[in-house]
Amino acid sequence: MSEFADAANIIIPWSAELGFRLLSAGDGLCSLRLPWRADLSGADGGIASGAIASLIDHACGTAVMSRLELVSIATLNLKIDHIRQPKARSQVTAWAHCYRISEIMTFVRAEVWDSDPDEVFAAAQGVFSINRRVVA
Amino acid sequence: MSADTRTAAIVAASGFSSKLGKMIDVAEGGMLWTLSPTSDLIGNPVMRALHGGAVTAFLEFACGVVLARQLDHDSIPRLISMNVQFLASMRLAPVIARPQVRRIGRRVAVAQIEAWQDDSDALVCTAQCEFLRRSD
Repeated sequence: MSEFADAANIIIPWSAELGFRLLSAGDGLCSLRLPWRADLSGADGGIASGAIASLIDHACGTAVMSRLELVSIATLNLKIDHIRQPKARSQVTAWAHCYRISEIMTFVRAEVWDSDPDEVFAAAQGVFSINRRVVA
Repeated sequence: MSADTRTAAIVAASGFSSKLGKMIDVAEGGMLWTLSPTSDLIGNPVMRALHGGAVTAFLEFACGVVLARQLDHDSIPRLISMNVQFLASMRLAPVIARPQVRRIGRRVAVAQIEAWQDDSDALVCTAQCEFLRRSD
């Protein structure tokens, strides 16, 4: 999916600004990584919760888009639990799963980890609306 | 950014808040927040809509700073959980928000925020954030 990763980073300004790296996407699943950078850091040296929220929203959206073609989606709601602080100067990786989809909306879960995928530091759940076909 | 000295100090305290802070103005004694987004904050280039994650970061930050001010802290308390609802897609135009601290308990504090673009009666998003008070 490397072409998809490049395309996503070029066409989505906020994704490019933060430096998201798509590891994989398809069948309603997405794995998205955010390398640590000083300008993404929170007060304690780990990636800031606001950047984590952006990563989660984007991973969820990408998971949804991996099941759709030529539609526009929008976040309806998102609930994010910050279970613990991410480690200082550590990259973080979000895993999102679009587990249910209909004509008009879709339901997604996500988890975020730093060094060990079994020790997530943030978990999220969201609903996205599927808006309309985009004229290609 | 225009803001009072304490808000400015919190913004300057970390890389991510400085990055976001460049687009933020705070008025009315810290209670009225304006995000003037650059095109970097776009999440949907087709509709030129703002990225939900970028706006989420702004809402969370405004809640955290308002709470820090009320607690007389120089840093933002740790975010435990955030729940954000998007009522409409957001254009590349200022997002104005009014955060309010709803409760300060012994261990947990709760803040809510409402945001709009042109018309304060037409909210574009609302959120609730729960923060852990410093254990002192």
